[in-house]
Amino acid sequence: MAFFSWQFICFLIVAVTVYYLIPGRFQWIVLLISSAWYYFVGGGPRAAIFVAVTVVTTWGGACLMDSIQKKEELKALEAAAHSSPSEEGDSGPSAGKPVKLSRAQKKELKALVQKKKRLVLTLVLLLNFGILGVLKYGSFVSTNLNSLFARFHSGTQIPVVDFILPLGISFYTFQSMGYLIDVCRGKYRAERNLFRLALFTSYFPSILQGPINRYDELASQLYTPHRFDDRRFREGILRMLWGFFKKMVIAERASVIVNEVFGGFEQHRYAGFTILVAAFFYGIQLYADFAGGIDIVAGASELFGVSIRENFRQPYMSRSISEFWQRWHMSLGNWMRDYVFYPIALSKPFARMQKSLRKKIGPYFGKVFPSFLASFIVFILVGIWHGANWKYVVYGIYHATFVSTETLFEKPYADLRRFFHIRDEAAGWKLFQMVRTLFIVSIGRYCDVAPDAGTVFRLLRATFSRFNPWILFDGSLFTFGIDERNFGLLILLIILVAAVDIINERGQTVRGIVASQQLPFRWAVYLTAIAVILVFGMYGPGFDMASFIYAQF
Amino acid sequence: MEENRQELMEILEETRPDIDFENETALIDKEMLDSFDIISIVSEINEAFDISINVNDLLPENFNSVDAILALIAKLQEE
Repeated sequence: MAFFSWQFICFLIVAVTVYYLIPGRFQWIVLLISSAWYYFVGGGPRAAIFVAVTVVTTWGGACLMDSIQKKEELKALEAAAHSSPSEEGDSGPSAGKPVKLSRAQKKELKALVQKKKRLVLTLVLLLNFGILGVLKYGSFVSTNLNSLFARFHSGTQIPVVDFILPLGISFYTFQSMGYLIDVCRGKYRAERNLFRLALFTSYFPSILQGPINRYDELASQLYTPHRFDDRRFREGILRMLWGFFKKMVIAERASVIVNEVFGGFEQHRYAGFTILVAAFFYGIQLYADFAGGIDIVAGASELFGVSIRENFRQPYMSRSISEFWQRWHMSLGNWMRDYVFYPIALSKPFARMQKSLRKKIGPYFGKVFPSFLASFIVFILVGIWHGANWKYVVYGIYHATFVSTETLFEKPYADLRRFFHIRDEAAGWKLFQMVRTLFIVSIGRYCDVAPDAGTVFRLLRATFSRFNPWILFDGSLFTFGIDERNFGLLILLIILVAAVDIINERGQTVRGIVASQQLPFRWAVYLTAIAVILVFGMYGPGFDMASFIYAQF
Repeated sequence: MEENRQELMEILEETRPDIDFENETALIDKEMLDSFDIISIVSEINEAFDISINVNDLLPENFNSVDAILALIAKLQEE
């Protein structure tokens, strides 16, 4: 069910109306039924089975870990109670008092519980990431293995099966597994109600393209009764309109240039600045598409009084690649940090490596090298997360190189800045850093637009093979699918989005300002926004509102 | 306790000399420390205090201020 369709609008109106009409304690059931309906209509029964498997195994695994904790605690207390009378006698000083475990007993108990919980965790993780792995990467792995076998003249051939991915599988799998790991770490207790956990996993606004929510932030909001909040509702509507505007007026318009240049770069021999301009517009398209999509789902969620995680924080204002990743697709970055980066960087082998490197190559590099290595692993995983293709491995290595070397060479970089008398906070330096980051990010996205790794390198060669800045001024830009009027409009709209981002960066939200105005002004904004979307939105024959770029990941 | 504080301050200031650790109480909430800083600080603390801060202890409330980190160190030293 596409977001910008009458079906979705009607579905949302019915769900919101019923949600606020029934008693608060039943509201979460309305959300669960709506989510199930939304997923069933969008993904079909086959996809729903995969979600059900994740829900049931996550619920079972978490409850089992909780039971292990309680059972082992009880056993340890019983053992302690049993041993204490024999030491001090039934009428001794401990008779009738609650039994306390000694420090050694507590330590032993903790180790035993962790061991058993980790076993359960491993099994559920293997099953769920196994399903994701087979469906998403099975065909890629078998194709590559078959090429390897052919190279060594082996007759072995593995069947290559292309599976249809269930909608949002990466998002709901990561979200559920994050919850399970947190229960194992003792961050919170398991949710005993299967249906409540099903709602957390399948909450319809965010199942399609994220963000990857956290249980401690989202779950209580889902289960708590909500009263209709007029102001919040208005902000939700405005955020949805802003999302539709970004997606349909900006992203779809920018995509025309992107498709023309990257689709036909070999045929038309596009090179130099032509490719760079298209890469810039791809960055705009991707941001407007993904952040616009998140605005729509976050706005829809606000209608139910539920706030979901922010996924973007003005990413194009980043001064470095590592800062970019703290502002772009933040829920994935934070997930990787908490569940992959920290466990790797703090693992015993890494601690041993750190100690040994400090002695061999000095305290500074010894200290930062393990983090450097861990972040390399994380970025390769982030790359692979985007799809089963070698070009995404290249993408991961590309970003990992920038992020890791930023830390590894932090001191030499600082010395260089001092040598050239560059002030870190000077406006010109900040602007240079932002443009540099945008350039690096745009080049990295060749991996996204090219069909394979070979084309990525051909695109790179074409970019730097010709110096043709005149195409920016001689009217060539209006020959890539959109005319001068539409091009001018696109630039104007990009400036508008940049202005809103600057206001947001200063800690204010435009929708907050609009929502607090008097009724006539608010309605003027709503109607203008709807008119702009309808008049300037792109609805060509190839338009598909359901096709958000990140939904395919 | 005072010795621990002094040693911890040395580790923190060496890692991030630009932060006023004495007065800051939202090091994580305000995103003043990034993940590389955390790993660096944790590994230094583990070595200096002979404890083992593991991934389960990496909660914002344990790293938001010097006092919070000291409390975590004291807790782990007791265990």
